[in-house]
Amino acid sequence: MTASRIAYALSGDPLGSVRISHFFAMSVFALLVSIALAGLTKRTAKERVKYAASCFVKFLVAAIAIGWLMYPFSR
Amino acid sequence: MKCQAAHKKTTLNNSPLDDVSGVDLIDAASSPVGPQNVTSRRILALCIAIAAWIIPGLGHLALKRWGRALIFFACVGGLAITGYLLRGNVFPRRPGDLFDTLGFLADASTGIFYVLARFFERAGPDVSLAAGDYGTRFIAAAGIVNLLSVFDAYEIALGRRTM
Repeated sequence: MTASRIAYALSGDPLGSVRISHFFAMSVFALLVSIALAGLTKRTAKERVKYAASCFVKFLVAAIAIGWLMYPFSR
Repeated sequence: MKCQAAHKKTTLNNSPLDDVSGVDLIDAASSPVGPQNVTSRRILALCIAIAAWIIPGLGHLALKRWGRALIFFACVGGLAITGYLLRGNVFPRRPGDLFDTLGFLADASTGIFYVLARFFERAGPDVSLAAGDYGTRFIAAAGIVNLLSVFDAYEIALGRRTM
């Protein structure tokens, strides 16, 4: 039940669901995966921060680029 | 400078298991008392891998890798909980359908967070919206990240990976 309360507190929705923009969802995904990959592959804190930032930016750039590449086929 | 580098190495690899490398394992296997050590180490590594699977980061915590333990717990938990809040699909164990089985394996890899799904997703999944579909990917990604963490903890426990 505590988890349900946390879900409600996080979302503000009685059903515990959140409404976020696609870009924000993608950014959260990119950030968390970048941090995990940096923690896995790099040794020092400085290296990890550098790698996570670089990976995060690459995720966003790649997603936006692929989005624009698919734009002509969206209609 | 040399002394600083040596100290840095000691503090980074402060696991009790770090003093034995993969080469030592091979040597130990060929010595008369070696195979027993290797077997006990493998059992220990397996226990650490299981712990890392059940609670993300626990395997690294047991190996005194505090930083990694925190990173993996936060990332796996963050991905899984965001996925549940987006009302992503949590695959139940349903043998027969290959895609469902793969989805179940990915979701079940999140360990304790798979069990918590029913509390966070009280209304069940809703993949009619794009957010729900994103949520499904978030949960699967959480499982994959945790699998990577499990393999990392296992390799460190075996002494094959020193970083």
